[in-house]
Amino acid sequence: MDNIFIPGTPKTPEVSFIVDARTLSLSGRSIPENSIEFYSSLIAWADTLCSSEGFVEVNINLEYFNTSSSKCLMDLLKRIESANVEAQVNWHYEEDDEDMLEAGEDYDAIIDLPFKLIITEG
Amino acid sequence: MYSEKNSPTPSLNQYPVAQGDVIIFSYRGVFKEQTSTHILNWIERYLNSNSTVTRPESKKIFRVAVELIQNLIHHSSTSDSLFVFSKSESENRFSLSSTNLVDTKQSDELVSALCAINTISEDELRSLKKSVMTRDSRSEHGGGGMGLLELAKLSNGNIESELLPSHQDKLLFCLSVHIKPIKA
Repeated sequence: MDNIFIPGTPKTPEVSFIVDARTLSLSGRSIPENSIEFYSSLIAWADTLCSSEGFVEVNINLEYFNTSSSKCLMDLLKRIESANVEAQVNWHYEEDDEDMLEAGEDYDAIIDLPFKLIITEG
Repeated sequence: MYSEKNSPTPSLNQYPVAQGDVIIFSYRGVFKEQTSTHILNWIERYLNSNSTVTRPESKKIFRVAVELIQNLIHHSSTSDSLFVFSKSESENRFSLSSTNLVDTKQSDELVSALCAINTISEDELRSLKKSVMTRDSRSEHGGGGMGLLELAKLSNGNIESELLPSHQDKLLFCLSVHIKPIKA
């Protein structure tokens, strides 16, 4: 199993999935026209990682994401939720960005994983 | 809503802007991935260079633009689709509108979805969005009927829609989303 590092683009997030650290980090923006195409390999990677024991940390620090990506993020988090691993989600949002704060709160309400909502400077 | 209110046959030659609104950007044509990239880049540059627009307001406008333009990519196939970004000084708001041809089945679905959205409170809207998020069903492009809910939420319910007769068996669907100023 290899690490995944994908540089960010104006429409897709920077991806840093590290096997040894068991961390999954997404940052930047996620507004691709076809999010399933982008996220399918990332979700498969998370499935493989979660098939082995150990704490998993998810860091989401997105400036923008479209509704299509929001479904894919939901899929990713649900896979981790349903796996037999302990995990934590760190949801970063810019100060004054109520939409991103509410999005984090909504995922927190739906997904049964510990969520930390973290303010970042704009 | 259309600028040529007295025209007997509405068409895409008309712009979905209220009288007195200033068009900042408009594009009519086929919507593809590259088109979306260019338009979104342009809007982002405009917002970044406009010191009167706060960052929270700018982010809302950009989010609305993403949803409207991507809807046009996924749901319009003709070269007649239209996107307009405008500003009203008198009402102190930005508006983003999309116009495209829909068939009667699509129009029925849109009317039904918009009726549901327009009759519920902000909290109910958020709950509905959460319930749609958890559904397994989704469109082939990855969405799951969340676009209109997201637009309603981003604009605090300030969305307007109109279905107008067009040629053949098609209707003209115009959706406008209004964003009021937000203090930083």
